[in-house]
Amino acid sequence: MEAEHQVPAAPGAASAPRVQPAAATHGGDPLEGHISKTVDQSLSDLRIHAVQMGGLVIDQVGSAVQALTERDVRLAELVLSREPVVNDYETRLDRDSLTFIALQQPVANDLRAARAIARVGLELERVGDESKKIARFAARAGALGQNDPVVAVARYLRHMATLSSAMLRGAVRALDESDPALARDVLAMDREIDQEFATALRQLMSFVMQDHQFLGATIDTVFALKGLERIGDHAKNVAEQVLYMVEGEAPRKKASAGGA
Amino acid sequence: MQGEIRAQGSDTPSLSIVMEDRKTTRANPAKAAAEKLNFWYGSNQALKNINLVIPEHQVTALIGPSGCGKSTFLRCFNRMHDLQADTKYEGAITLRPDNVNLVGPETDPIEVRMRIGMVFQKPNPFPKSVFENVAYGLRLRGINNKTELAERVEKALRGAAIWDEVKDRLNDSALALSGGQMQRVCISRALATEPEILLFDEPTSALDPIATAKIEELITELRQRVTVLIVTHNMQQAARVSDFTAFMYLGELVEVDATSKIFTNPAKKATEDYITGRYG
Amino acid sequence: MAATAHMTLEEIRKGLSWRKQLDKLFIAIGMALLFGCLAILAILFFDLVRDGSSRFGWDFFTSFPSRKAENAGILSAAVGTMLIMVVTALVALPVGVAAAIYLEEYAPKNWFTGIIEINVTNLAGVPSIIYGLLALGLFVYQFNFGQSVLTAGLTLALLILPIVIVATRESLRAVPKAIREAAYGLGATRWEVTKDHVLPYSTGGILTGLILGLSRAIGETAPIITIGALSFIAFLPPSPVTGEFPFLNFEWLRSEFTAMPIQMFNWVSRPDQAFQANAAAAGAILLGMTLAMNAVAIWIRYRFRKKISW
Repeated sequence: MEAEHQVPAAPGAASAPRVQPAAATHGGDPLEGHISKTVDQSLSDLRIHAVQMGGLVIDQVGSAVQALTERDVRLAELVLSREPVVNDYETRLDRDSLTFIALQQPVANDLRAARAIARVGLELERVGDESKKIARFAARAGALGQNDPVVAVARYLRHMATLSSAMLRGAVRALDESDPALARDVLAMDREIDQEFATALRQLMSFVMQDHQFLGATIDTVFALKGLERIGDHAKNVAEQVLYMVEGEAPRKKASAGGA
Repeated sequence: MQGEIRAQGSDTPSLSIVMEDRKTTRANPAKAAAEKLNFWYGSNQALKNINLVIPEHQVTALIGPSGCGKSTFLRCFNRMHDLQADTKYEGAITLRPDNVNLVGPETDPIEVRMRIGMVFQKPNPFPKSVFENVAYGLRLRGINNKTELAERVEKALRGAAIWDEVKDRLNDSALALSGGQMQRVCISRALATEPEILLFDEPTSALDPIATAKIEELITELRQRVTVLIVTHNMQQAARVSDFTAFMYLGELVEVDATSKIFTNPAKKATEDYITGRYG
Repeated sequence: MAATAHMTLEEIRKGLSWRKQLDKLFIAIGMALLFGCLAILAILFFDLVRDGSSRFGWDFFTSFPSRKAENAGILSAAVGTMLIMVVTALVALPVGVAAAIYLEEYAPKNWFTGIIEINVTNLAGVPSIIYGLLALGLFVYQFNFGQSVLTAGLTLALLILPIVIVATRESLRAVPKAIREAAYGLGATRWEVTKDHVLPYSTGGILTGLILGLSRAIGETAPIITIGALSFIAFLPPSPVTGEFPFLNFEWLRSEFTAMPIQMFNWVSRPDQAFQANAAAAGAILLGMTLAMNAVAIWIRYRFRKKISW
């Protein structure tokens, strides 16, 4: 797990996961206070790993988009090299939560937490996959000329990256602090990213109508935009898991949850 | 914490609320209902204003820490407390459909025990043959015809899934059986008289895991024939066998709901703290 | 704390060997005392047998007392003792068991029953001659039972009643609460629980108590002398079984009697040395009867314990 140390200090809560969450909205942390300290420890470890994974994944998203828009092939390769680490996190979360369930037989909020954290791992792993795809495109796109589709929608790419990162950050922080209010904020942000995606697509369409030369790159760009939109969905799913963990009831899914 | 629970205990769900809350379990009519039930050992109040509906042909589990009154509550249903001096009931446990108040002073405790069977914590067969153990309740009811006794004993033993194990040793002492077999003979003994409600007081606390699993399987099957009320220390057991779970604390009923609801998302914090092991 | 509590293997072994020595020492003392007591009993018994050896024989059992030591026998005394024991058992068992059941199962726990319980226990310690005086006044003069087998049987029954009551209560109490609850749970009444369960399961203890009581009664001399047993009886009481309808005869209850301890007492107090041998022989037989009864008690207890284990 040396790779953990490579993770640049990501902004926000995710970079410093365990700095007194108790000071946040709730009086006591809902995952703690068991008679058995082993249970406290196991749940705490699960959450720390999920939050660390979140920090890494947020950085992957930002770096991948930065690599794409700034034609930084080395940054793209760094993102690709860290992808196995993300996968390792996911495997570990899955295994540890299963072990916790088998050995401690949690019920109620403990059970919800174990399940929610395992599913958060899955969502974050998919965010990692999307970042990987964007980074691959970035590695290839380094050879492109000046007037290409990426440049045409670079503004949207950056904005969507900022939005999806912010959503991820909010969701991970909500998990870290067991804060349903933060999680709800994340759910509300999803609309914005969807609108941004639709605008970017229109922009790209008018671009491709003027110039057919970059048809292949245009399709890749569409995928990159779609990937960012998907990352927003994953962030939303993470937030939903947090709500389920804390409140016991998942918020009602909207029909649009599957993406456009 | 205590104050909070007490406050909640007083507005425990009445019949109608329980019926509405039952989203995941099919709704059955009530077999019995405790209404404003209070109980005293001498001057010590062990049950405080219990209101609970026991749905017919379903398994209702009572959980809670030691001394919370769950066994005391269970034993009200067949008036076991009457064997002890200086106990007092107040309120009612109404048995449906004839609306007899089980704990009413006008109700004969022996009549109550003839309608409501009980299985105890430790297997307690009589030191008699397996057959005589199961037949005893029938003999008390004046059945002495050999053919009828044999038929009903076999039916009861089959009902407790132990017929195949004991059919060749009906005349052997029940004390020669294993603990799990003894407990199933005790269940047969209670079943033989076809009770309307069967009470289980921690029936597997003295048994090994395999015997426990057999009893649990039996309890889930029994609900088709009889209404079951079970007290257990083992929360996983409550989760496995019951349709409804009631959490009691300090002599009060804190929460009752479908078991699937209690064990995934209980409404009261006290319940959640107890079932997740946060009582300190 | 862990540091000071830590002992080396040497220290552990040293300390342990000393403690084991103590253990062995205690076993040795216990064995010595036990065998000492048994030896005294054995010597006593063999001394009696040796002194009386000349008298053992069929004649000794089939002869009535006589003025000549070599013709005297224990027929009337042995028959008298047995008849008295029958009366004692028939009276003490139902009365004692009924009293015990009432006290244990039915009586409310209050000061009144508390006093009764304490007194029942205390009665076991009353000197037996007091019972003799009571019987003399009550049975002989008041009820006019005479100096008969009946009077003797009733007197000894009174004497062992506390033993029977206490033993019965102990064995009733030994029936686990769980068994009673099981029976009550099926809808049994209190009497049904007692009759179908509590009594049958405590039979072993009750019979053991009765036999131990009888083996105490068999050797009692003082109360029997007090009520006026004769020491020289050359006839048997009328047979309890007759050839004619109704085949039973209760005349024997009113008959005068003698008993083994009385006969012995009589012989011992004679100046003629030859009678001492008779007394020794009778003593050996009486001791044998007591041991046999105790053996039966142990056997009963063992048998029931094997059948019923909680």
